[in-house]
Amino acid sequence: MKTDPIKEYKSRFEAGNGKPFPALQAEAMDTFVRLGFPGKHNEEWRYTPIRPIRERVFAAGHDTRSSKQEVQQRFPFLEGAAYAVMENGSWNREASSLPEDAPRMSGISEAKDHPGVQAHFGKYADTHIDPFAAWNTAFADAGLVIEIPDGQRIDTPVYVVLLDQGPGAVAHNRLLVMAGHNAACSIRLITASGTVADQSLLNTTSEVVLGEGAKVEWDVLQMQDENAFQVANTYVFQHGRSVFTSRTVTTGGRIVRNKLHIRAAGEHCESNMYGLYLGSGDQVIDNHTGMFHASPRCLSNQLYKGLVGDRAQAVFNGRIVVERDAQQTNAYQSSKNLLMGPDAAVTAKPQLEIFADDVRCTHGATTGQLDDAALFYLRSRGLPRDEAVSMLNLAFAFDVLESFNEGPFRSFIEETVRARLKEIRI
Amino acid sequence: MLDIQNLVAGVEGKQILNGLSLRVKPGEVHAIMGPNGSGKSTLAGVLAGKEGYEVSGSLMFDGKDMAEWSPEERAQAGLFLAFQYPVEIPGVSTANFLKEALNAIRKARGEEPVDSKQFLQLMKSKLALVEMDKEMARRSVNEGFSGGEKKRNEIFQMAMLEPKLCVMDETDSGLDIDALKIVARGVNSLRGEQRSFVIITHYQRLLDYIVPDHVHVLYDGRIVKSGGKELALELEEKGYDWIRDDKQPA
Ligand SMILES: Nc1ncnc2c1ncn2[C@@H]1O[C@H](COP(=O)(O)OP(=O)(O)OP(=O)(O)O)[C@@H](O)[C@H]1O
Ligand SMILES: [Mg+2]
Repeated sequence: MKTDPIKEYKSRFEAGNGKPFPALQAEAMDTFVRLGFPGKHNEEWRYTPIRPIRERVFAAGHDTRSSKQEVQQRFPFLEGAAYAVMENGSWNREASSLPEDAPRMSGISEAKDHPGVQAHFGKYADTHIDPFAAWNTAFADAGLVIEIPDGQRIDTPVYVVLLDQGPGAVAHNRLLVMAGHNAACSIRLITASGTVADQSLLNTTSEVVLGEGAKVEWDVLQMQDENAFQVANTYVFQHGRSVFTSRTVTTGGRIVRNKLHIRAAGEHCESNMYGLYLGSGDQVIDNHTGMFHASPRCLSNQLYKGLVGDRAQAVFNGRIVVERDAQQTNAYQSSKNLLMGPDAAVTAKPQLEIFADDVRCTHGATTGQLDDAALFYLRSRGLPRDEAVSMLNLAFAFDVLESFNEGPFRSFIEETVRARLKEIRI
Repeated sequence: MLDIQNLVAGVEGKQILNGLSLRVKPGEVHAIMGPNGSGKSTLAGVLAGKEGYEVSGSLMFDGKDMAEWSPEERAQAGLFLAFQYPVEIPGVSTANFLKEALNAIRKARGEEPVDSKQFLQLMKSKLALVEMDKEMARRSVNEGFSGGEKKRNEIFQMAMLEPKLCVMDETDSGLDIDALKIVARGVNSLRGEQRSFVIITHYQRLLDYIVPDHVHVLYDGRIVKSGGKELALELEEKGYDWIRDDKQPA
């Protein structure tokens, strides 16, 4: 008889011990069992077929560990930088590099009694309704806590490399970022497949709290192998006058589902969300954003762009909720897609729920094809068609790429994108 | 250099060029004038290899049949079209694409690619030629450029790519008098024994600065009259009606 994956995960949970948050995690496990994996009838997942995730039993883990040298070779921008490597769901300390001026990082188990962790861990994730967040919470034993104390502004970015590893393994990565009053930091996440990864799943849940006046940049590069899976749930909570900026570039992965929820809880917050996704082959790339305006006079801005070819499917679902008290909210959203072939599909859906009356809110979703006039112009100058197409595609992606701060990380992303674009020509 | 015989071209069943013939020898400057809608831009587009036309007739470039060539093959062989309506391409900088284009052309010619330093040097001198600020070349192609700036950018690109045959579609339209002089000066400096020009224009004024060897009237998709530079003056004075009358069989 075929094993029921959920049963298998449950018995695995029960066999585990030394849970840092026993009550919370047991409850999460119950929720996961109750909810099960979402199917087509779940509105939130309607256009995101996840059968390959639902139907297999992912292995618990794999003990392959990358060396520092391997990691730096693959991601040259890490040289001299502060970074943590999370491999197969736990912190690979040997491969990580944390200079003294880096922000304080600790494992969740050792930091569990820290008042900040007690106050924030699990407080923002919608564990009660999201099966992946619940699954993650149940198994989040080896996560990472990054804390920036009040007033500390860290100029150099911190990298977190999330590697899936081993055949058919699932890694539950858990991140908690706490930026204090007027603190500032820039966190960069790279998700990629490890050397022995094969059809493995990264299930990541991140919670990011910004104190009054804090500033956090959250850059994500998702470049797993073409048969890997990823579900990334990110929950951001902003106190007044804080600024949160996320930039998500997805180039790899067979199925990638990103949920990014931001709650602007205090006045005068600013929230920026940029996204770029390149789909080819049979990729499914889904970005679900949720911008929750709970307080007056906040600004939010979303720009998501996609290039989708072959049989790839992309979803952008942009939900904006403006609560009754959130007067004078400015909320902008734009989603633009280039369809590169007749079999590719994009579903772009704004979802506005506005309960305040003094609000400026704009949204737009476009799906188009390559600009023939521009293509002819470039070719008439001698550029071969393929090169001209790549150039125009890169130009389409430009305003998202441009939102990244300049430096070796951005160059790396640009190179990755450029290389990927060559594979989704028409 | 260019030999067009009995060119017929149309879109979606609508015939626009009706058996046009034109011969341009190396070093010559030909002006083409003609009323709106007579097919001038269509001719330019067909020459540059724009897709979407049904074309028949013979198109010889440098002694070779170019009818089946792609736009890039034509450009690499030395043909350049200065567009009547240059396209804006957000996110692509002029300098960046031009370097790639130049190297694609050089490669086709069996020449070594230019490196960044050589390219910058070349760009500097050609920008000076059309009195364009180097900031403009760094910006996205034509994005937010004024009408006149776009035209100047066309001539700058032309100067950079050093084509054998320059087809200029109403480059003078929208230029103020100073810009017109600058563009004309740029074009004149490119004139040479091995380089030919086909200049499409509505105005005699440009031809005061770029003196043509031949002037043709394109009417209803055909060249109905050819002459020397005085023909342009005559057209300026009398318009096109007399040609239409002329054309009618007696
Ligand atoms: N893609 C097209 N589809 C339909 N009709 C077209 C197309 N391109 C050109 N035409 C028609 O062909 C005719 C010639 O157009 P063309 O642009 O060549 O004229 P022109 O001589 O350059 O005019 P102008 O002086 O206004 O620039 C016009 O009637 C125009 O409407
Ligand atoms: Mg025209």
